[in-house]
Amino acid sequence: MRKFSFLIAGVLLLLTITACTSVKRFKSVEYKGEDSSLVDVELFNARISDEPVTVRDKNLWTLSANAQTRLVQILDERYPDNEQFMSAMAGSFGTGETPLQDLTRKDLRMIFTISKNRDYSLLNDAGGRFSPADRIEYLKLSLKIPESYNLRFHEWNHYITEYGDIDIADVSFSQNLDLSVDGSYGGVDMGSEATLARNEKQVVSKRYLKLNGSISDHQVVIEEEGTREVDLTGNITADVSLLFDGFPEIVMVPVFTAVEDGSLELSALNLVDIEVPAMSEAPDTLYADLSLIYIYRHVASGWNTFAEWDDKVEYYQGSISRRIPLFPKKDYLPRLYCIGTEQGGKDALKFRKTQEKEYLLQFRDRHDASRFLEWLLNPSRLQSNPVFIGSSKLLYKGDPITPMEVIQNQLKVLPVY
Amino acid sequence: MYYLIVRNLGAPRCVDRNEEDLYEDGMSFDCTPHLECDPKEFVKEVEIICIEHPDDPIIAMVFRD
Repeated sequence: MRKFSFLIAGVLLLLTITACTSVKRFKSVEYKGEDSSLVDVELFNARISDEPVTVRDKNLWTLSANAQTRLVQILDERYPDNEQFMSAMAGSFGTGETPLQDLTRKDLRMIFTISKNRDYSLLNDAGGRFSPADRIEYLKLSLKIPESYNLRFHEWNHYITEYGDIDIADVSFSQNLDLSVDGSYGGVDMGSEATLARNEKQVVSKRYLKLNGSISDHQVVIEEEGTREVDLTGNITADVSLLFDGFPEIVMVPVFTAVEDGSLELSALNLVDIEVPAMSEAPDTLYADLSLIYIYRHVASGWNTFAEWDDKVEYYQGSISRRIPLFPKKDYLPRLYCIGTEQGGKDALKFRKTQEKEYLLQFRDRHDASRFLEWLLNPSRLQSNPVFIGSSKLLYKGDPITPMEVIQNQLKVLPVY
Repeated sequence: MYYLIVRNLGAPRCVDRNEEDLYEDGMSFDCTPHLECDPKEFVKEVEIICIEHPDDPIIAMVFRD
């Protein structure tokens, strides 16, 4: 009988321990109200970049079979010396850089910093709202762009938290970041099974995260819920693409060929349609409205153990809203270049194609503009004759311009915006 | 002479000019030229359509010299 008593007591003890450690989430729980001073949020880095330009080398191996044969023949005739011939075969001959024609799409990396107010001076104070076991259990972060900017969120690219990252190629996502024990020799190895296309090894224990996100034209919403022992304090990185409304522009793409004396001769000036952001004004900074709603799990007692089942939990809800700078003017203005002067107001060269079609002589990069100016000032050109490109004239302040006047007016390469 | 001026990214540009004030709401223009203009007196605002973006009307200003 006594044996049975010990056995029953043992089983009950085992059940109690098991129930306490793996089933219970807290000892007691209470909602205490609103307190918006417990958590803070900052957008500390918003980096904007243009869409990458595809650059593809052209060499012997990228040509078709016929072109390869022909090129080898030409190089053989041109370079009888074997070493020069091999060197020419191995070289590349220019790049197939795709002109950047749409300057309205930008990639933005936003890094949100979520921090707790750690007031250690109130650690043992009955009225204090901080303990080392406190954690942010839930947060909803939203970033809203004013409609007046003609700017809208387009899609997610990447989302990174303290506990893992996911690649997203859609307007919304909903993911669980589940970490499973992967028993490896000499310790415990945790493997992440959360990402859409990635499988990362992490050395964290029992961290689970529920993530939601959505993008609409003018708002990004991020929701995170940390489960057992997961504190959402830390950085969240969100990569998104943005689209401005488009405004049409024409840029000049000069094509040069080398002549026998080594100088460059302009063989064509191509007019290329591009799109730039459409905004009547160009504010110095674009702002966005950042807001955060959070649930704070304060452990009033029981925080001296790592396990959470003995915690006396008090929940607080809080919210933060503020207007924050998203990116400065230099990050969203298109980088186009013209040839002109800023003396007495900005004046630049124009290109008259027909009587009623005059275009600003603007280039998509500084290099093109500098090469064109160099060609314009070539000493071999007649300094007092108006400059023609084909049948089109170059104009300055409405009149045809000569190379000498380009020098006299001290025209130089300038940014258009 | 009347001038039709559009403004983008803080920079004005003259996209059309005419001896008569024929500019009215809903008219379409090529918005890429930078014509030489001498605007002195503001006349009115009109909502025009750039032919490159037929779905997005924009506000333009009419001036005369």
